[in-house]
Amino acid sequence: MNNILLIRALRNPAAIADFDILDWDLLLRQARQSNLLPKLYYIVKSINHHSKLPDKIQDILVSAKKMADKHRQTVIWEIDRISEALKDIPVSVIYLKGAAYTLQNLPVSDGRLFSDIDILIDKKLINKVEHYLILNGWVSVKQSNYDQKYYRKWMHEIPPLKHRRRLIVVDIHHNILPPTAKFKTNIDLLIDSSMHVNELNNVRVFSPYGMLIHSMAHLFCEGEFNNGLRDLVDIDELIRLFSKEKGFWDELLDLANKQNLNIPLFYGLRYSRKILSTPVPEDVIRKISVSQLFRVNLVIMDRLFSRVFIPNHKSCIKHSVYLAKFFLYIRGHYLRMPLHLLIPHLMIKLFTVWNDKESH
Amino acid sequence: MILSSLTFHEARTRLKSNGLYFKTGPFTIHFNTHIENITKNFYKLYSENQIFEQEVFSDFHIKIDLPNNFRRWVRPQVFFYLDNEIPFKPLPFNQAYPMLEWGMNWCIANHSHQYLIIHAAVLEKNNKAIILPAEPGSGKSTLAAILTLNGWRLLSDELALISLKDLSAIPLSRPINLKNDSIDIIKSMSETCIFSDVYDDTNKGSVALLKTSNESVSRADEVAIPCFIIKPKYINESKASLARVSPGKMFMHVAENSFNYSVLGKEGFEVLSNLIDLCGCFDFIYGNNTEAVNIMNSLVANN
Repeated sequence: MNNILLIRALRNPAAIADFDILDWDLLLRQARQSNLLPKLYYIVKSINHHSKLPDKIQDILVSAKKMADKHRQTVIWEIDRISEALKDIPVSVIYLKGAAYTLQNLPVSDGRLFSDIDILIDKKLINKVEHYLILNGWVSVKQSNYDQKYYRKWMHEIPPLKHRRRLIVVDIHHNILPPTAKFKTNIDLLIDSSMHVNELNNVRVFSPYGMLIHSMAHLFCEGEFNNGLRDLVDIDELIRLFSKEKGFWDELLDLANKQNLNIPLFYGLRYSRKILSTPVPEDVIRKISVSQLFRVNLVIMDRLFSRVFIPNHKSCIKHSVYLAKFFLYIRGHYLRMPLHLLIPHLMIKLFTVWNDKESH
Repeated sequence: MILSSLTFHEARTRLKSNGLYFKTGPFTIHFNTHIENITKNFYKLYSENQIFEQEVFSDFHIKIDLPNNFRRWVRPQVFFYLDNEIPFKPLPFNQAYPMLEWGMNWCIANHSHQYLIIHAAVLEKNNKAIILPAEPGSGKSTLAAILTLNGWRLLSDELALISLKDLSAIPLSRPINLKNDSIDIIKSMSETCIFSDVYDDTNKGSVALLKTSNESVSRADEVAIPCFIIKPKYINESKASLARVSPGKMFMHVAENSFNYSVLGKEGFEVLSNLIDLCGCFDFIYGNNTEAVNIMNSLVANN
């Protein structure tokens, strides 16, 4: 694991001082393909190393940082537009993941790139919110009847909306996991402990513990890991920031327990520690209540996860990575839905993909 | 060392195996391809570009190749790879070479925000650079080609790279992308100019690339100071006219033709304002090549 340059840099920023010019060539490529190039700018900054790098490399890092700044500005503006569109309805919008980190200016938001904005709304109000967004220029991304019905019936979100001019996609959730998921969470508890970020009372984020648990639940119930390393970096940075608080670990374990998310918490702590050297005390991981069988299974899970938390670059991707991704894809779907729902769904998806290809 | 110091066979072998490292302006590109038509045209048009014997730090690692599926054989397509990413859709096999040029443009426009990047040609004479920002079809590349054939130094045909630090224009020194009628117009002007093959039926019509002057490539490290921003417009047989445009109007025109003005945010606004302040702004209508050259020559001579 340690021979991967990007992971060495993430684990220990000081290590980059020893990289030669061709190491940098590969490091930048690994970071770019993993959506972590702007993050690398901040890693270099953290050890005051910029001026020691050749101009060419500085230029590339600065360019990436400017792109991340643009993403930040876009997200802030989009949040402003969403607030404006919803100003006539009394609804709290909880921003999730990247948007939440950006709203609070957390260090984890430095150099973070976005693909879309995730929000969470009280399920009772979600139709109203959708209605108001559509009135204000958003359109549904999913047009097929099947997708529309599938999202509304089985998912923890409605079909994503996209603003027709600004083209930013907003994913509107009413829960952090699908209602059919193996882990039964208590969303009301998470919503109750959310906090407002600025003077606007309806712009909210989860509590620090909620944010962390959510990012772990999201990553470790997910079936796709193309941004796996980036998401693990989020977890690492959140832990490094929040664990300075007194009583942090007890609160975190307590919340995971109440949300039935001990397993994602276990994985989150285990793999961020293993891969990114996140400072997690051993006894914290031991304290998490998981079954003996689960601990035995770790031999297999370690093998799978160690193959997906890598840079999304050909220098790191071996054949076994595809196999691991395949197993984790199946696992992700299995965690979302029981088999009697999952199999018909995958068949229909396969059929539509096939049909689309034929018609092109 | 320049590309022409390799034999064609050597260049081809490198492109097929570990790739060839070459410079275009400030960028080093690591390029790989098995496609013969690309190799042939690349060898011809980039003959004066600096190359590297060994593996060197590269800004972009690119590859253009056929896919490993049935589209290799049936209505073959070519794919452009930036590292292991496929940033845009494949093109028909017979557009492989233009895809190299467009692909490089894409890489630079999307990843090099250390510059303000404008969709514009840049040329220099008497240490004065002119920037020609314009929409496709305005006659920008044609004018760039005409001036290049008349002793101007071409810095860039498609992408004007403006330094955010000192507003200088950074040479890119790549071939000129000519379309449709302008291909024959330029061919008829000079017998010595070197062209790529002509590629018909692209989404820009027929396309051919004109090799830039050797001077343009050999002086690719020399930046130039922008003095004029000129919005060109070719109107067949029309009498030439050069008319001042208000800075505000030109600002909007350049911003609309910039690839990363919005990415740069406040800095983009400031840099572009300073650039406009530095330059005289003109609308330029031309319909006759000799007349166009004379007017451009007098513009950089008198000032």
